[in-house]
Amino acid sequence: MSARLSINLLLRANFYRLWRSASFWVAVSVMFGVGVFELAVGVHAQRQGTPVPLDNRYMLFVLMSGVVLSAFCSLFVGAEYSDGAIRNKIAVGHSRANLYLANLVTCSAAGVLVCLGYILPMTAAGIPLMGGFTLPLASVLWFTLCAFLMTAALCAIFTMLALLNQNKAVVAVVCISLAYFLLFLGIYFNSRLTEQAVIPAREYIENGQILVREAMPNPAYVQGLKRAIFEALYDLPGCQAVQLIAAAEARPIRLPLASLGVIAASAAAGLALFRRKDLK
Amino acid sequence: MRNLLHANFHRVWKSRIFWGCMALMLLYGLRLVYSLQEALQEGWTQDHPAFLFFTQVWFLLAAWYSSFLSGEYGDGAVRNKLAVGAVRPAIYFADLVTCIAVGLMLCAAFILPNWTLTSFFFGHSDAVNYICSPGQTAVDLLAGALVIVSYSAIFSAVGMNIQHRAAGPVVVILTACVLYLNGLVCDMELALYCQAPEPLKYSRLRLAYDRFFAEWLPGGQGRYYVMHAGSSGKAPVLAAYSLIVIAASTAAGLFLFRRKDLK
Repeated sequence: MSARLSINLLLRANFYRLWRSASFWVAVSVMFGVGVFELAVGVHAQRQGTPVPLDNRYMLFVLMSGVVLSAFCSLFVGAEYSDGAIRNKIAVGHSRANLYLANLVTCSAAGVLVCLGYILPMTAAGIPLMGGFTLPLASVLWFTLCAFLMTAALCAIFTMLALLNQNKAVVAVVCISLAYFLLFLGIYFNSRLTEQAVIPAREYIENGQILVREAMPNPAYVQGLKRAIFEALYDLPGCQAVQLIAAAEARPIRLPLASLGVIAASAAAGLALFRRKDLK
Repeated sequence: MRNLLHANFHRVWKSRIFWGCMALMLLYGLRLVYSLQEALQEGWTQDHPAFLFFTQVWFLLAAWYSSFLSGEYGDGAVRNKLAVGAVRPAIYFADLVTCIAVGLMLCAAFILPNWTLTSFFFGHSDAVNYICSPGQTAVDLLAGALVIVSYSAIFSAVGMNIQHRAAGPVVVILTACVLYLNGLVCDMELALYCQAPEPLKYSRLRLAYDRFFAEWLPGGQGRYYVMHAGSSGKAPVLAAYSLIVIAASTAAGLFLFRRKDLK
C-alpha cells in the first residue's frame, strides 16, 4: 500500500468520524452560540448610541477558540486510544507518520470549521445589522487567515499532546490549562509591551500650589534583550489572540510565520516522539 | 461512608496531581510575599490579609477533581463500590467531602506560609496595617471556606453525573472556567453600574445575570474576597447565598446520580 493511498484512507476515516463526533458538533454549536451572543451585544450597544464597529466583535472568536479546541482535540484524538483504533490502524499496515499527520490535518480542519461556526452568524447577520467593516476587506481577510493559522498551530500542539499521552483525562486537563495559560500570557505581554518609555510631565496641585512633575523614564518599560524575547513569545499561538482582537495594531507578517513555525516544530517533535512511543 | 472516605483519602495522598497542586499553591503564596516586599518599596500598603488564593484555587481544584473523577469512572471504582454494598448517596457524599477537603488543603497551602511570613517580615512596618479586626478576618475566612464548598458542590453535581471518562473532566474544567471568568466580568460590570455618575441602561435581566454570577456563584464571590476582604460586612450575606447554591447543587446532583444508569 503506497504512503499516499494510506494517508488518504486515514483522512477519509478521520473525517467520517469527525462528522459523527458529538464533541465536534458541540464545539461548533458553542462557537455559533457565542457568535450570536456577541452579535446581539454589538447590535444592542449600537441601538443605545455607542459606536461599536463590526471589526470589534468579529475577531473575538480567537479568545474562545483555543479553549474550545483544547477540549475537542483531547476528546477526538483520545478516542483513538480508548477505542483501540490506533493499534488497529498500525496492525493493517499504516505508518505512524501517516497516522500522526492524518490526525494533525483532521484536527486543524476541525479547528477552522469551529471558527467558521462563529464567523458565519457574525458576517451573515452582522454586516446587515451593524454595517460593514471599518478595516479594508483585504485586511479583514488577511487577519482571518492569521486567525485560522493560529488555530491550526494550537491544534498542532494539542494533537501532539493527545497523541503522546494515552490518558484522555490528563490530556484534557493539560490542553485546557495550556490554552488558558497562553491566553493569559498574551494579556501579560500586551500590558508589558504597551508600557510607555517615558512618563510624561504633569502638573498637580498640592497645598494650594501648582507643582510640576518632570517627565521621567518609566521603570516598567521593557527594553533590550528582554523586549526582544517578550515580542517573540507574544507571537506564540494563543498569545497572538490578544494581538488579533486589536487587528489594526497587530504585526501582520510575523503572526502567520510564527504560527507556521509552531506547526512545523510541534509536528516534527511530536512525530519523532510518536515513532518511539510504546503503544500498549 | 467511613470506608469510602478512607479509600478516597488514600487515593488523594497517592495522587501526584494533588501534591503538584499543593506545591503550586505553596509557591504562589511564597512568591506573593516576595512581590509584597517589592511593592512596599514602591509605596504600596496592604490593609487586609491576602485572599489572592481565590485567583488560583478554582483551577487547581478543578484539575485535581478531573483526574480524581477519571479514576472513579475510568477505573470502574464507582461500580466496585456499589458492588461491595455502598449506597449511592454515600458514594456521592464521600466524593463531595473529599473534594471539599482537597480545596481547603489547597487554600491552607497558600494561607499558612503567606500569612505567617507576611506578619513575620512586615508585621511591624506601617505599610502592612490591617484595618480589619481578627474577628472580621475569621468571618471572611469562614465565608471563604463556603466558596470552596460551593465550587466542590457544583463540580460534584456536574462530574458525578457524566460517566464518560474524558468528557466528565473536560466539562468540570470548563464549568470552573465559566464560573470564574463570568464572575470576574459580572463583578466588574456591577461595579461599573454602581459607580457610574449617571444611571446606566442595564436591563433587569442583565442585572439579574450579573448579580447571580457575581454574588451567588463562587467565581464572583472569590473575587469579592480578593478585592474587599475585611473592608465591608458583606460576607454573611454571601455566605447565605453560598449555602443556598450548595444545597441546590447537591440536591440536584444527588437526585440525578441516584437515577443514573451506571453501565
